[in-house]
Amino acid sequence: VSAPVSLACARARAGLQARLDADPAQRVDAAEIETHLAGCMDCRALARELQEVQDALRAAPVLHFPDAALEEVWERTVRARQITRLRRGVAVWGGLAGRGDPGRGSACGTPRAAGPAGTFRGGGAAGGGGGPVRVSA
Amino acid sequence: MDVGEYQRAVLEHKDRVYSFAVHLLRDSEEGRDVAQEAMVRLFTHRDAVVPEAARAWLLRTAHRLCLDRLRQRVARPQAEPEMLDEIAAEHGRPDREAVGRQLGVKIEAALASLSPRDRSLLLLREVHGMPYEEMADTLSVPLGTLKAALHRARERCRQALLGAGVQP
Repeated sequence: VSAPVSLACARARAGLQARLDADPAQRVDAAEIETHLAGCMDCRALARELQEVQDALRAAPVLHFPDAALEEVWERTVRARQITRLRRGVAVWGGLAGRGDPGRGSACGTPRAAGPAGTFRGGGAAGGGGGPVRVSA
Repeated sequence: MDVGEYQRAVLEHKDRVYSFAVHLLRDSEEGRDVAQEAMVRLFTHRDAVVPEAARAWLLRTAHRLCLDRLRQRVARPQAEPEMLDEIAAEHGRPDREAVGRQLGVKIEAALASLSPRDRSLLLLREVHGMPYEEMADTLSVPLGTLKAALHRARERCRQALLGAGVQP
């Protein structure tokens, strides 16, 4: 392999890689490769070895992501978000009830100030009831 | 993507992201941590990612996290052969040989001798069957560079096998 290769070998080897890749963007002259391989023992061995490397790699298993690890992902993402939104909702309701201020309770500015825009909507136009309305992200 | 799409994307790609990280890091525990972190980050950035791009996004993030860990690991000796045992144990499969046979112990050893970059290329292309364009996006390299690098990685993998006295 370390010996210098002829131009014909170099062309054939480039073709071998392209054939392994099955890359439509790379034109491979299959007949030219086969002709060369028939007469070149080194390239024939290389072709076989590269194919075996590819076959072995493709036979590698896709590992199963542990269920417990997936649960942790849900805890840190979807469930954490649900809890945050619930807390915000409770805080908003608590704040409104504690103030006993009907004027503020009907405003939609308070919930928006507590979280990112779009997380909650005040009841005015959208909900009609004056309480926080949960909307999907 | 919305939360539902995020959950579907995670369920669809979790095993590939995990496998990629485990094979790249050669450590099931670190691979699990990296996969988890990539999934959590996807949730944070879900508004900027369309579902069709989730796989590439997850693998790119996992790849970067793996490289960070590999850099940090320089001074730490690596536990090489235990990986297959750990995986087998984690999945409740005492048949280490079966796992090792599937992965191909020879290939496993050859991959271990390659650089993380070569390992990434071969894992993404050959193990995960990722298209070139997606690979280029995942690894943030031009397409032409990627193809040439993949050819060299394949050749180095073959030479690693031969260098170890193993006929592929």
